[in-house]
Amino acid sequence: MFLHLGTPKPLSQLATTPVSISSARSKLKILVIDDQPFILKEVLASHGYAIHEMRDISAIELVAGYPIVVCDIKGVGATFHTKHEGAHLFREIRRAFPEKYIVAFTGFRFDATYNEYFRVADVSLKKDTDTEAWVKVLDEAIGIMAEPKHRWLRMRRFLLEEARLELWTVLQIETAFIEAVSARDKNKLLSPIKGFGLPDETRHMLTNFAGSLFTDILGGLLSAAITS
Amino acid sequence: MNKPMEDSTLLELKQVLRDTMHEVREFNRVIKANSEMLTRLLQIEHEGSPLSLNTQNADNARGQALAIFQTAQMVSARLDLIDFETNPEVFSSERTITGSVYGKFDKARKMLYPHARHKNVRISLTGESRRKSELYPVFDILPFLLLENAVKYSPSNSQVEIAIEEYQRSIDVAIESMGPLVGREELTKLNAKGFRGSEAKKTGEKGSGFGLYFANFVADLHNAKLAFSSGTESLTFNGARYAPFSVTLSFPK
Repeated sequence: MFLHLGTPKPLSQLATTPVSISSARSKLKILVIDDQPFILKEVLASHGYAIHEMRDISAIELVAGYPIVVCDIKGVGATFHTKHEGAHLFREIRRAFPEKYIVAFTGFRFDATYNEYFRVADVSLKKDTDTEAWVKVLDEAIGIMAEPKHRWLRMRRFLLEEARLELWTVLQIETAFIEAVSARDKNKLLSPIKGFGLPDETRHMLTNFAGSLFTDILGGLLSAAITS
Repeated sequence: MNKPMEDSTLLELKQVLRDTMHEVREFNRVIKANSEMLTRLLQIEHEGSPLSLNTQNADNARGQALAIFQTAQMVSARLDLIDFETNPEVFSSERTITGSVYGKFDKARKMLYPHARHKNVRISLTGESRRKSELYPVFDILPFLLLENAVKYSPSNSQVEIAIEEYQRSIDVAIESMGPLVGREELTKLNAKGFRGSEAKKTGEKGSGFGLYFANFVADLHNAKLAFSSGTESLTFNGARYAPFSVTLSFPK
C-alpha cells in the first residue's frame, strides 16, 4: 500500500531570474589547484572571472566555497598519497560535492590510462588552451552553476546513479529542495533530509550542497522563486 | 603472440614522434627568430630608461608578437593531433571556438611566406568569404598542412593559388599548384596513413605520408570533405613527372 497526500511542486516551476554571465563571472568563485602558477590568471581576471589559486589541497572540504574547480592532473594531491595525484582529487571532489563543475587541466590527454578520470570531470582542457577556449568553458560552467535548478539536477543524477537512492527518497529530497529554494530557507532542505534514513556520507554531502547553494543564493549570486 | 602488432604500433608511434619533433622544432625556430627580432625592437639603452618606438617600429613589434602567438597556436594544434591520434576519446570533451576558414588559410599562408619566398613560390589567396564558423582549435593545422605540402612540391617560379568561395551550404576551398603526378589508383590512397605517391618519392623532398592523413583527420572532425585531383603530366622537375594538382576542401556551413 502506498499513500501520499498532496502534490509535489514540479521542478519546472522553479523559475529562476536569468543571471547574466558577465555579471556572474565575478561572483562565482573559481578555484585552480595546480602546483605551478596559473599563468592565465591575470588574463582571465581581466575578463571578469574570480580566479583563486591553491598549490595543493590538504582536505577535500577546502573546495567547498568554489562552485567551479580547475584541477591539474599532476603534482597535486600529495596529502592523499596516491599515484593518480590530481586525477584522484577529481574523483574525491566529485564524491563529496557532486554538483561542482570540475575542469581537468592537463598535459596528459594523450595518455588513455587517465580517461576514466577525465570522465569524472565535466571537461578536460589541455595546458596550452587558448584564452578564447577557456572563456567558453568557464562561461558554460558559470551558466550551469548560476542556476540552482541545474545544480540540483547534477546532484539528483548523482543520488540516483551513484548513491543509488530510491526514486521516492530522491523525490522527497527534491520537494524539500524546491520548498527551501523558493523560501530561501536552507533549513527547509536540511531538516527533512535528517529523517530519510540516509547513509552518513550522503547526508553529509547533501548538507554541503545546501550550505554552498544557500551561501550563493543569500549572497545574491543566485536567485530563484516559485512561479505559482 | 602480439609482438608483431606491438612492433608495428611502436614503429608508427616513432614515426608520429619523429614528424612531430621535426615540425615542433620548425615552429620553435620561427618563434625564436620572431622573439629575437621583437627583443631587438624593444631594446632600451640601459635598465630603467624609457622605451621609445616610432610608428613603424611599433607596427613591426605588434606584427612580431602576433607571429609568435600564431606559431605557438600551431604548436598547440600539432600536439592536439598527437592527443587525438593516441587517445581519440579526449576529443569528446573538446570545445569549438569561433573563427573564419578564410582567416585560418590567410594565417597559414603568411606563416609559409619565408619558406615560399626561399623557393620563389608565390602564394595567392582570393575569395570573399569571411564567414565565422565553429572550429576546433586543431583546425589551425589543416590549412598549414595543405599549403606546406603545396609549397614543398612546387617547382621554383610557380604559384600556389587558394580560392575560397561561399555557397549556400558550404564554404569551399580550392588549392591549385603544380605537384608530382598522382595516378588515379594513388589518388584514393593519398590520405592514408604513411602513404606517399611514387612520383613524390622521386623528388627527393622529405616526407612521411602523415601530412595529408592528418589533414583528412582534421577535416573529418569538422564534417568537411577533402578531395584531391591530379591533371595530366605537363613537365618534369627534380626527376619526377609533374602535373597540376588540386585540393578541395568543402566545409559545411
